[in-house]
Amino acid sequence: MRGTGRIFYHILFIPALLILLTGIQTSLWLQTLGPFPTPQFWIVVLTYLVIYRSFWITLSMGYLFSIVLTGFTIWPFEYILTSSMVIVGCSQLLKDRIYGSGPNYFFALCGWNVFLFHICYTALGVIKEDIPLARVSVFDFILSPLLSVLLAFPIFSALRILDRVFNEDEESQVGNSIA
Amino acid sequence: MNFFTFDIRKVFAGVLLVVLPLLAINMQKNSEEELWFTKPFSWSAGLIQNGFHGFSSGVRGTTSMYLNLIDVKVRNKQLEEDLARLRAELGSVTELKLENQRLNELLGFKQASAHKLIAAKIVGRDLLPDHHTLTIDRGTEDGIKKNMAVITTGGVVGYIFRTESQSSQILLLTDRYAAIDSIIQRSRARGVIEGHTRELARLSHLKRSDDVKEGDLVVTSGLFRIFPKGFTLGTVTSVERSQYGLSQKVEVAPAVDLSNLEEVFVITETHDPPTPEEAPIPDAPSQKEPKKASTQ
Repeated sequence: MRGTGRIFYHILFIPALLILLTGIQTSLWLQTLGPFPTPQFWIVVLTYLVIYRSFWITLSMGYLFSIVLTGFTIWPFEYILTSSMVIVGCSQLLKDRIYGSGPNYFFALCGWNVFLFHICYTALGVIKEDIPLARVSVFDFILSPLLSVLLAFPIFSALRILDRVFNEDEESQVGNSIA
Repeated sequence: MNFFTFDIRKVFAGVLLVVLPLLAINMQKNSEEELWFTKPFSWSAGLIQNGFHGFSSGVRGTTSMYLNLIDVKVRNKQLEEDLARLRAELGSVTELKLENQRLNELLGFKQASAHKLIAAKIVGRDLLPDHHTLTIDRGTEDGIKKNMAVITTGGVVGYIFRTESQSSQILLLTDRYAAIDSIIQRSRARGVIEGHTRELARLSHLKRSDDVKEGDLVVTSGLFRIFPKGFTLGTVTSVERSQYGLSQKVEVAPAVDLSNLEEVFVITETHDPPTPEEAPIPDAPSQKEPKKASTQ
């Protein structure tokens, strides 16, 4: 897929999907399960992009995701951006060394990325912020990656279908690294 | 090895991945203004959360009615159908009765209050587990403005930190970015309530000599007329005085169960008389703006 269709897919469709999924995470989840820990759907989508897109597209989407997500949290944009870039950078390094295109690889990377995000979030909260993070919830730390992996399958299937619809499959190749 | 040969793409990638985010963090200001490029997404966040709230309310209503019917069908065909309908109706009537009771209580509270209040429903929460914010279904179209106080019949909930046309976000008093000027009801010792953990807040800026005991009620000071004076914030659960410190560590349990909120009130106008303390105090932390994360 080239040209406007591709731009439409990445600039409009994927952010719209991200808003929808984040809406489920922040609103529907609250209505149904109350204060139970939530999966991080945005990391699932970002992980998918890391695996099935070139580095430069993923990097741009990381920036776009950070802007979109700022509306859903009080955490400042700068911190969300840093976390996204940590996820993109680490996943890319991992992808360059161990690459797999199947769902199992995707699920493993999803779990790792959500865990990495929690580490990054905690580190920034403790080291950088004026009012440091007082207590780390181990329950969230463990449950959030597990839930994200469990619920990643429908998102993965939906994104695979969408990629086929938008004819985006040719990008799903190894060798699209930084250099 | 030639140190002057480098791949420009790698340098550019490094800048975008590492340098720019770190620069952004270090140059971050305590700006009250929201970044212009995030505004459309804040608006869409409110819109989607309102939509999901409406959807889940509808689904819950339908599901409960359907489940009631299935439950009744097991017992008796003819009579049970009537019974099922009646029970379903009774269930919804009971639900309505409870809701009515709750809303009456809120209405009574609203009428008794000397302040102008707007009732709002909770439709969403924060994306991140360690930040305690909630989204409500009222926005600037309903007269909601930034920094307005949010309360329930039990006490203070927090204050508005972001507004959109049809939704707003509340910073709960347990969030670590929150700060609310407060006093100990018994001794009138003054401090600032700051969010600490999901269940607790901290009362800081108290002097070591200030009279604080476990079980003391902490109320709003009424300073700056954002929160009405005397609204309950919580109860002191522990007081710790270090041997050589100048202050004391006081933990406060919020008066309101912040994890189970359904409806809240936003104070759009307060009618408290100005207090003599209201002259701005240099360097005194107040609830006027959320303490956003910044560089140390």
